[in-house]
Amino acid sequence: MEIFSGILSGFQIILQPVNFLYCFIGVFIGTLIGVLPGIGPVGTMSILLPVTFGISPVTGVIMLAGIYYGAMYGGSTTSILVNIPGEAASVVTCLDGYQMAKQGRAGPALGISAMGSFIGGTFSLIGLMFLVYTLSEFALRFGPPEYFALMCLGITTVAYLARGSLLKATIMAVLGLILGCVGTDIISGKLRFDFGISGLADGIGLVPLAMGLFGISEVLTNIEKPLKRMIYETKIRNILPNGDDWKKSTGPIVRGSLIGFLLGILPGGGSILSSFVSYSVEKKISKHPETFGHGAIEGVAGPETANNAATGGAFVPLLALGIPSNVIMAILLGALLIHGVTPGPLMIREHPGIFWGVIASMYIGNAMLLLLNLPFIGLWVRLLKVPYGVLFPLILLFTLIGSYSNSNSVFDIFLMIFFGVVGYVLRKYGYEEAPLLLAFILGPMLEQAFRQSMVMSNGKLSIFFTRPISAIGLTLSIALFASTGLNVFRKTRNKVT
Amino acid sequence: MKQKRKRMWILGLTVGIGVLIYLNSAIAADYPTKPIEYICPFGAGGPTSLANRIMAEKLSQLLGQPVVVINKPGAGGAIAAAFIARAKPDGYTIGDVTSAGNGVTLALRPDVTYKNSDFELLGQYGTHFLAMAVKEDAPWKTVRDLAEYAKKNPGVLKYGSSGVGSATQLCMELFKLTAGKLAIDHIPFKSGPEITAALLGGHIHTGTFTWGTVKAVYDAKKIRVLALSIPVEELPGIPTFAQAGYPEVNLTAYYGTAAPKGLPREILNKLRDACAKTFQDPKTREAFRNIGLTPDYKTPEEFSKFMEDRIMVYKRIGSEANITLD
Repeated sequence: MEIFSGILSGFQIILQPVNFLYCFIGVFIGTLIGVLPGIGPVGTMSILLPVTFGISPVTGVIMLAGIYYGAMYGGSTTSILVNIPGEAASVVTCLDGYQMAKQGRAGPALGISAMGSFIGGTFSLIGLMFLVYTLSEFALRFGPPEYFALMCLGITTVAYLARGSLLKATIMAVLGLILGCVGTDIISGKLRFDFGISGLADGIGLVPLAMGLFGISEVLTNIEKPLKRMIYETKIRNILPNGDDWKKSTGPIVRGSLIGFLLGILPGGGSILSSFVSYSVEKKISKHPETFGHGAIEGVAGPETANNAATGGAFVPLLALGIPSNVIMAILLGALLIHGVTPGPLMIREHPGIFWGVIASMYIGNAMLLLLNLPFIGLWVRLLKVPYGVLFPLILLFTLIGSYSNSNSVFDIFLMIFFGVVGYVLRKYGYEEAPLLLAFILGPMLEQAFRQSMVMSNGKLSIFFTRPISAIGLTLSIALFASTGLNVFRKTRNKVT
Repeated sequence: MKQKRKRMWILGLTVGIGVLIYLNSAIAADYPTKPIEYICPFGAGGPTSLANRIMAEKLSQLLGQPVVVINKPGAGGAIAAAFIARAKPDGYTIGDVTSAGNGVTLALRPDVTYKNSDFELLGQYGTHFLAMAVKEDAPWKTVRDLAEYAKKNPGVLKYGSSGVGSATQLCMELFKLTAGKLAIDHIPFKSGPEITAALLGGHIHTGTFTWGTVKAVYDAKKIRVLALSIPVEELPGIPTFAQAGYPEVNLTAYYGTAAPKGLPREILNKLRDACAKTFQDPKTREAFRNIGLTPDYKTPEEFSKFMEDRIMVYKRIGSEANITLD
């Protein structure tokens, strides 16, 4: 009952005109920066942070939160239309979203990701509302050994990302692991593979790597085949998903919501990991795994739902414990602290208005986003008719701005261009970027978790199997790994005989 | 004739130089005529970025031009410090000097491209004190309990820090050295919030935390604070390390503002004046307190002396606890 009276009071707060307006401003800005490749919510939120100093804390946080989940909505747009992820969490969407667009189904792809985002976002809010304290206790049980198991599980999903050759995907994953080693070693503080370049001291940035591999190399590939893009040759069919699309997408959306919300709670990986995991799960249980990578709508619906469900999950440790699980949450924490409001176990008692106001605002904001995004779909699809000669300099410009604004480092621009060229060459030879990126993201976390666990246990490997969560996780990864290996073995044997 | 021409030359030159000096001072007097960039050495979203954005509001008001915070994170603050040191000394690039980039890095990293004499200090604005904490249900009630336990059970206790070379590590290492070479193993994490989560989850036993990362869980009585690195007005009930018998353990993380060396006098004075006013402004100090930063103004001279003294301390901890960054 307390929850219902709480959320009702929250709706009273969000329905005040000023809060409603700021919520709209937030989700609108969020959608825009989500669409622009490279320009992410972190930079935008920190620039707008001083704006919130002068307004009430609840209004400020409503706006900033809107930017965050708005960006997750918008992130899929460029993935689908031009194969360039707007946000790191939308990398997976490129795999099938872009293929759908090529087949003239950009509309349904955008439609299903908007609907999936809405459902995932709303689901995670309900979870947040009812289970915030229970789940925060669960999140705390994840120490280094548990993270290690989780990362192992994540790495095994590389096999499902492969569109073509599994061997090539594995090679790319190993390359990703190697690239992830660059930078300061977290345990000893020593620099690795930095070649004396101070820009590499903290490792290769995710944004320049992803934008280079996907964005720049996509542009390069397209210059090669002038004015002959398949997208406007194929007739654009329906704008919104049809009945069959819905039938296929319901399962992925439900599972994506759960996966996203649960992984979102855990500090660190959150939304990026959830989108990769959701994709792998869908491919694994699908009756037609061969359609994945060739425009399967399940491969868009699942991950896009998951990355939005993760946004709700990410609020759990912040609201329940005052611990921000990522940089974005840290900015929100700052916006509250400035006003003397400390998020944490006592917040719901000391500042119920803010707690419930923010939660209620996210319901409203998600609905706003859906209304904002659906009419846009027609516009976006028409954008594809813009000649590529006009479109690609713009894409290039935005990726450049995006990668610079992320860390204000010129070095990152060169890094992005470098990886753009590398990505172009890799594409020519049929090596895919997604496994590289996944391994690049997970590798450092895997290593860190492993070595932290080793300090914890004084060097005993048994720590991974004496703790229940990590034992389950590791067993599962071994099983997955074995089943993939077996499949490959069978295939090769069939070929031979 | 020749003589006269020579004299004309000298006169001309003098007038020319005079005009130049005048113009230059006129430029300095007009300063600032465009937005000022404030370089923050850590990423957006962190406590330092937040503090910088709070200060920038007041500084903009005082200087009459926007002060724009630019995050240049990386290499423990060294990238931003090098950037400030090399910037054009025209007063349009200023930024943070901190215990990380201008203290620990200088003490422990062998190949740093800048030194503290490359900076013109404008003053210190704040301090993060450190709080040694354990979980609320842990058996240790005092620092001494913990030290005794560690002595009897070497290698059992683990502590977390927010990274190699961070204040959270160095403070704990200093404590270990002071208390008699305690065997408490170090588990580095990547940020303050991560160690707080690890402590609450029971994955580490203790650590020295900056207040902003543990205030919420302390207020909710989920952790017990055993000692503070310096006396703190708002927490009168908690002893300092000094009171607990470890007077050397007084590390903090400190934050100040600097410009590159070689600034015209007038501009320097204007900036120092604006910083002094900002750092002592009650509203700014209140906002600092809210985000867990203790407002702590030091004049450029005091700050400079303090920084040199700290570098010596870091060097000692580094060599005795065998910590290097290279």
